[in-house]
Amino acid sequence: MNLQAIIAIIIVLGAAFFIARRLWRSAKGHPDGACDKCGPMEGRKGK
Amino acid sequence: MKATIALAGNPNVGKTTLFNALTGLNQRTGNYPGVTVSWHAGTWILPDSDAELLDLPGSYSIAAHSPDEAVVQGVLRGLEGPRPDALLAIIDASNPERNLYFLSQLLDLELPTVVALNMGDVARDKGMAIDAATLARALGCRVVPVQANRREGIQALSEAMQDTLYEAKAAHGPGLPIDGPAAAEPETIRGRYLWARQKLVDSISRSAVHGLRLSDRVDRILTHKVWGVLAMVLLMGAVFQSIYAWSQPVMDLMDTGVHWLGGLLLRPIAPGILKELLANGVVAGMGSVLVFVPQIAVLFFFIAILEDCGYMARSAFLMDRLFARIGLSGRSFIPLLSSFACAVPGILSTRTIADRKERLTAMLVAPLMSCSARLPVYTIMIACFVPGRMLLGLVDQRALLLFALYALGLVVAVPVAWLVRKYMHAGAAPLFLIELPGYKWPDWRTVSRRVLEQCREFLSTAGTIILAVGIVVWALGAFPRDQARMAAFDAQRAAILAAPAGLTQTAALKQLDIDAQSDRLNHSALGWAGHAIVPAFAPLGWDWRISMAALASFPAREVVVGTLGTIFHSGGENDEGRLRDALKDAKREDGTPLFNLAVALSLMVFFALCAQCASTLAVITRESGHWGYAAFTFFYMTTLAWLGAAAIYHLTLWLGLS
Amino acid sequence: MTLDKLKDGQQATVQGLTLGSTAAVRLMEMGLFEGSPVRVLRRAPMGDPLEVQVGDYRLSLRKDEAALVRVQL
Repeated sequence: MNLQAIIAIIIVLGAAFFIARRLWRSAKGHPDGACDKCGPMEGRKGK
Repeated sequence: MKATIALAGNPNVGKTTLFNALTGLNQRTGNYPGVTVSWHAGTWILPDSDAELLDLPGSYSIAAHSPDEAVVQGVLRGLEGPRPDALLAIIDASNPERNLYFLSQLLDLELPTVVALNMGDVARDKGMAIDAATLARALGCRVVPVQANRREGIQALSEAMQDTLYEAKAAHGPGLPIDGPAAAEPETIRGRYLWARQKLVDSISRSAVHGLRLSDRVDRILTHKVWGVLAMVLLMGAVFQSIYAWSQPVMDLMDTGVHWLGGLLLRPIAPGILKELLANGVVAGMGSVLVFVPQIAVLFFFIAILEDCGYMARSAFLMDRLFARIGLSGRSFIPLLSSFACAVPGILSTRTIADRKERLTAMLVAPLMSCSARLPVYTIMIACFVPGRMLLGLVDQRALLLFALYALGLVVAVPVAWLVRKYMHAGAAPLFLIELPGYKWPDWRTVSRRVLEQCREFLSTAGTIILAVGIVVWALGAFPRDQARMAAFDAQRAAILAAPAGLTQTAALKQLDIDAQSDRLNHSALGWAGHAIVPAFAPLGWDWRISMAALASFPAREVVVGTLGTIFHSGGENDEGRLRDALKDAKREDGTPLFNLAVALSLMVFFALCAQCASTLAVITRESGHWGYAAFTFFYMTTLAWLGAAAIYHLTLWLGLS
Repeated sequence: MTLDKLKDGQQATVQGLTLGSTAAVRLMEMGLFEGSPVRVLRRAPMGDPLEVQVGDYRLSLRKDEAALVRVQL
């Protein structure tokens, strides 16, 4: 198997994994795209 | 550390306009965790410092009757994190009592508060005037008159806020309960309104207004039984026409652009499996995602304008009766109507539906509205297999069939919506209650912010999933590959190249490529799946080729014509004439024609009712918060599609129409 | 007499509401409480919902929601 094939396989598996992870997270109730930034008050917990 | 200021107020009072005026281009957006309520934050540059301004969703009360209001409560009472340092409350001078009701709750939170008194122009129009200084004395906090849409009063407002931050003095309201059952008691509510009246009594002056205001005159027509409905039909027609007229050229341009760019970027890569993946999986996948953006942009452009100018509420008012019967409301009208163009923006726009159950129901039936991607399938099937004939001398039966296919989705949606809604244990029926705000010119900054936000959100969430699905489906259609078969095709290619160059050679090479592709598809995982499910689709009159086309078009329905081209060895969408001939000539194993009217109808009905669009399912997952809803949509629609297609197939045969 | 039974153009004063639902709370918060003046402006093409004037603004609500509001002409 040449380098091209390896890279291709990695990409395809990555895509499949990405889909699976999204489905898993949605089942657990994580809102996509917002968990990293849980609101504009983040970073002010010290106050 | 930067001070945090929350901006709160009723809906329709110019809050977003004020927010834009205060923060300029320094804005960030996101979503509150667990709900599809977005937050907007920006930097407000005050005279002596910079502050973080948080634009809260418009609310009528802190008592939280909707997800939006729950968020406001959460932020202001410090339930989700630290409380803001100060509060900027915006009130509408032309509607003071109800605005002061909410203000009374805000003041009872005892945060340092500044009040922005907006819409003085509308108040003057109504013969009202409020003296800011008198009101400030009565309330015990600073009141600054502003005209947000003309950016007047901003400087004074910033200075007032800076002073208030320095003083850090808590504001005081009527001292009535703001949470718990006591807050919902009639005495409490009335108490707040009486407090509001008392605060206004010295500040407000009213003079008699003669004649109807322009806003009222317009409303007379737009909510009229006859003229209002007519105006709405015309308006919706114009919106749809614009969607097709504006987005189609952009979509075509994008398609060409993406492929050109893809070709350019991929040229340095040696031909091979990776290049194929990138070209046919990634680039094609990206193309199929980007192609949604013009439709989303144009649709939300109109939705934002209609909402901002105040017409949205009127359309809900006019259509509510029809929707109430099946458990929805007039608020679902525009989202579901939008789905006739494309379900993706339609579903995104269901955010305007406050009631969660209604919103879910609307999302689950939105894909039944025949979207524009189904049109190529209808067109080609009708063109090939439905003879043109005038019915009653009035209308061509082909046009009637097209209309019937669109109507089919609508007709099926009614009982489905009713059932879904029923199943959700309605409990207390949600309130329809809508404020009908005065008409105003849309604010272009608000509109463009909305459009950009929706496009950005779509790309980052659904877009990524669609791309991933495109890659996976490509892989399923490209593997496993048989080296022996590939070698055979390579040998044929060599033979053609050995012959003299010319048009014949080019055509032969092209046909060979198509045949090779078709062969590979046939022997791939996808092809195997197509063959495997043939028994499932036999009652619909399909063979493995049609089944495979249906499977392969899952990531994006638009590719079905191209896929049909590959499967029937006739090239892509550019060769539609050839495809038509290929379809007409296609034969089954026993020599009988594959396609006839019955098969064509069953294919069209299947496409009309099936949820084959990965993009739609991705958006449903995102907006509903759980993939289960998308799965349900897929299963119920596929089942209906199968039943409908089988029924029409046998009915057509039985009636002898083929 | 309840709000939904008023004719187009009629003015009335709110006497009270049928309590016990979030609908009633919301209606009160929007200004429909005892002593408030209210006027029915018009109805939608199919007879439902209604458009009413409450204080300085306009509200649209369904007949069954309006039925919660007791009024006196």
